[in-house]
Amino acid sequence: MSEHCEKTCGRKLLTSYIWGFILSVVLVLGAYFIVDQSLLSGKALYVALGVFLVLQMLIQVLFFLRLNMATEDSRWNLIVLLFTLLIIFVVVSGSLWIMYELNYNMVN
Amino acid sequence: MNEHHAQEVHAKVTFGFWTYLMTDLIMFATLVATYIVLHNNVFGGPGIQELTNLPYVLIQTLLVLTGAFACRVGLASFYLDCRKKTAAWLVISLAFAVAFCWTQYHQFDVLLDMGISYQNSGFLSAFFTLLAIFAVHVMIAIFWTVILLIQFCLPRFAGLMKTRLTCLSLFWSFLSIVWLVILTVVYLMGAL
Amino acid sequence: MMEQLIFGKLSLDAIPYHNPIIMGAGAFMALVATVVLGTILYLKKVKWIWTEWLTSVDHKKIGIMYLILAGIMFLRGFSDAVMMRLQQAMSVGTNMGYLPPEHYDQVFTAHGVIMIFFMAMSFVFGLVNIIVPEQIGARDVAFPYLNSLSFWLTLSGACLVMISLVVGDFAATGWLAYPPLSELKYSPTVGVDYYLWALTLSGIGTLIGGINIFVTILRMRCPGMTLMKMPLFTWSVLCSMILVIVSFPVLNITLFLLFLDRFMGMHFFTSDFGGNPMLYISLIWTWGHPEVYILVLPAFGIFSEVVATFSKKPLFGYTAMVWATAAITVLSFTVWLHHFFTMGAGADVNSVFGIATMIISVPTGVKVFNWLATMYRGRVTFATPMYWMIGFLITFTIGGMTGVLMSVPGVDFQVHNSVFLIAHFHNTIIGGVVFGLFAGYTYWFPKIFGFKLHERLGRWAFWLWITGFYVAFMPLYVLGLMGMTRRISHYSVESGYHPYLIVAAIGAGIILCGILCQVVQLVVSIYQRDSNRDLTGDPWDGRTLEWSIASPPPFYNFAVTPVVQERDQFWADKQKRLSGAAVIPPRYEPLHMPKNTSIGFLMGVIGGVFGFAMVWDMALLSMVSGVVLLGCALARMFNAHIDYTVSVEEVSKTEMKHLVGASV
Repeated sequence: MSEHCEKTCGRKLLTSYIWGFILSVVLVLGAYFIVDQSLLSGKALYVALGVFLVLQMLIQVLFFLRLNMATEDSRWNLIVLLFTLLIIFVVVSGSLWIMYELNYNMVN
Repeated sequence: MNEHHAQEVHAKVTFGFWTYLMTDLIMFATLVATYIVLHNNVFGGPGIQELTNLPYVLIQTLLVLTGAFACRVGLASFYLDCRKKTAAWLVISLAFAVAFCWTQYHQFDVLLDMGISYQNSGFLSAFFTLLAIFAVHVMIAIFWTVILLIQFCLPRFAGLMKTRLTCLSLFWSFLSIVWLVILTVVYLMGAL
Repeated sequence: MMEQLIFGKLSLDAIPYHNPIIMGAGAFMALVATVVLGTILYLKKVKWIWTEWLTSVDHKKIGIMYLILAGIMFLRGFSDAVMMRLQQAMSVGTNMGYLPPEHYDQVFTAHGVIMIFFMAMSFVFGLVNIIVPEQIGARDVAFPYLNSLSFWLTLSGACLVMISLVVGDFAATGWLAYPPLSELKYSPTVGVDYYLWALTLSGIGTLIGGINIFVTILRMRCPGMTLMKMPLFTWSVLCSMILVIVSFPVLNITLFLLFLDRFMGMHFFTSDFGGNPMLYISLIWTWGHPEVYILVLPAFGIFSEVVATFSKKPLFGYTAMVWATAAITVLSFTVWLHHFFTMGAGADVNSVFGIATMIISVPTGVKVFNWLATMYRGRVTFATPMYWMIGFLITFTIGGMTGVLMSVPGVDFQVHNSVFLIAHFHNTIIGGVVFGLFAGYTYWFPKIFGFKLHERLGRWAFWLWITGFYVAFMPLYVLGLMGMTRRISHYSVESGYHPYLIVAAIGAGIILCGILCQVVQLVVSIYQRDSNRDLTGDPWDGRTLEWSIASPPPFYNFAVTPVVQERDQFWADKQKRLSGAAVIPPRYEPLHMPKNTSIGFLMGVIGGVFGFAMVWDMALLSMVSGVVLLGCALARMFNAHIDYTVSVEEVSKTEMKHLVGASV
């Protein structure tokens, strides 16, 4: 993100961005195709869509944000992102679990 | 010495902005969790299946992804010292952002005309709010891009451009990530 | 039509003329405001206030303003506490007390909101703002303009709460405004709207402030200060700011969703149309639990500094303390359900969160033992900060134990929402946060203002506080076990609560004496400041970098950025100097400092106006103030010249002035 070399990095960035964009669009079309044609259903569909989402996230992180362990700046950005994802996971899954249990106890 | 100082400031500002984006990510995560909890609370009204128009949503996705791509190419052009290309790509990303906001406005317009309003059920409140807050973030990208295009022409901002363009492209990455989550969780998983 | 656009729901009826208590309080506020403004005008200090304080981006000045805000809000919050204790001591049997229930409800709501958001958070941010850059050898925080903005947003939130006393009413829902009570159907007045806007404004301010301090600590440490060489106060603040960054977005969006329910007729948390009130409770506590750790971690940090300085020993088990703080930070996100064990989640959910709550007491225990071990075989001096330390060790531990007691869901089912809970959290908040903030206040006062506080009055204040606390809150534990619910404004004679509540009221009175002692202490100390001047910058023989600069520090803090080789570098340097090592004369270089700006102040004030206009549905004022806000932000974005250079001559002149003063 904070590049020290400018011209060579510009070219490297461009290649990375173009490839990332192509892959990203391909994945979106793939996910869309699966749902539109109802190729999967139930749990299998959820898992497939989850995998597509995770792959999309990886493309964003690797091709666009270009986070890596190389420079110190990049390492800190990666740590901050991973910590945020951990918290999001705890908060979202915790909230969903709690609300699901509450609904279960209220309705049944 | 001045070069080192400028690099320090650039690193500090981009890191601070990245941290801010993390807080925005958590805000959206809470909204998505709220949506998931409420997505079955239709109160007799329409659910997500009735509201989903997959081709429309695909177009919205491509608008967001392309807008983000255009902004990044603008940043790469800036590194390659092509000022005209930078401005051109920023204008392109601006156009895609405006197009996206229009599609979102149009979707809301159609729904509200049909009497499907955010006041009708918990599901609809969550649906409208999540998409509206996302659209507001895209509008912020629009304003920001316009401001940057103006500042690009003013020599006194020359030293700050690199940082501001970097932050804008980070913002677009953030928008892409959030939209992809919305696409998957709200529309693709909901269209079953 | 025009009247509706301009005034919205606001009319002269909004002022409760018939209520003598409110009118008295309002008159008092107006008197204080008039005296302050009058003094400024009389002494012709308007320009000085503007250039030195309102437009300042200096972290030290902003910190002092946060401390002043905390002090004022403390007095307001404590007045609410005294009112509650009086009411509960009086209203038994046929006596209905002096506060009608709807007024009493607003008092306990205001008490909670003010104490947490505007007293404790302001106090913490005040000390953090002043001390953290000095401890890491920095000249300011990472984003000085945003720092100013954070403060003014917080102040405008506090102003909204104060205005709500005389114009309209405040929320009567408890400090967390649970729906469906806080929804429009059951709280149709503007009270909850005041609540929402006050907390939205200050919530945004706090979030920005958290990001600011986080980036400051990670990016602006002086050369050689690795993370494991930072003072423990800075470590605690880093963890606390991580919690702010990660939890405040949840608060902000949850309150916004409640606002959407009220303002746009949505159904997130309503009891009909598919809303889910329990969702609010889950989300608000997802913020609420980390919030208490946001408050207590800096207090723990203060205690780590105080105990090391006053035992003349390095902190015992530095690495363990860092890991314990980090563990508390992460674990604080896994326990939030313990605030609503009784609300229907079922045994498996309850047991998981109950166990998590028990686990979080372990790293806290590690810290307590490490503090004790620091004192062991140290040369302990009992200055006032050390008194607060000892008081904290005993009081907070008791409070923590009652917390672990309640972490067992079965026990919690008996005492949830009873005054046992009230006693527990006041035990930990007063014993932990308040005592810590008082310790920090007395410890760092000489650094901030240049003279020490009066010692004897400080000790009296401590004894009155700690005695008053136990007298006020121990009866509440008993009452909780007897079955007394929280937030009640009247009860029967047969309940047997009355004698205990009288004792509790006496305790509140003793605390009041303690607070009076602190006020007198401040006045006397200012009066006697010349005899108590801190000329060396190091009145306590401290260990960390903030004691290496003058008291008060020059505006740039460090003329030469320090280079650090070990923990407690300043202490090490002092030992070397004592043993006769040569002092190298400093070489000055030009410094970059941020320029003052009025934008933070303006955005804060206009933000407050916007909030007020939204509360009262004043459409025209909302739109105008909203546009002006955007204009201010644009003005800032188009300002390219935001810092300036301090010449070498000015630096050496300022340094000479301090050195001359020190040698007198």
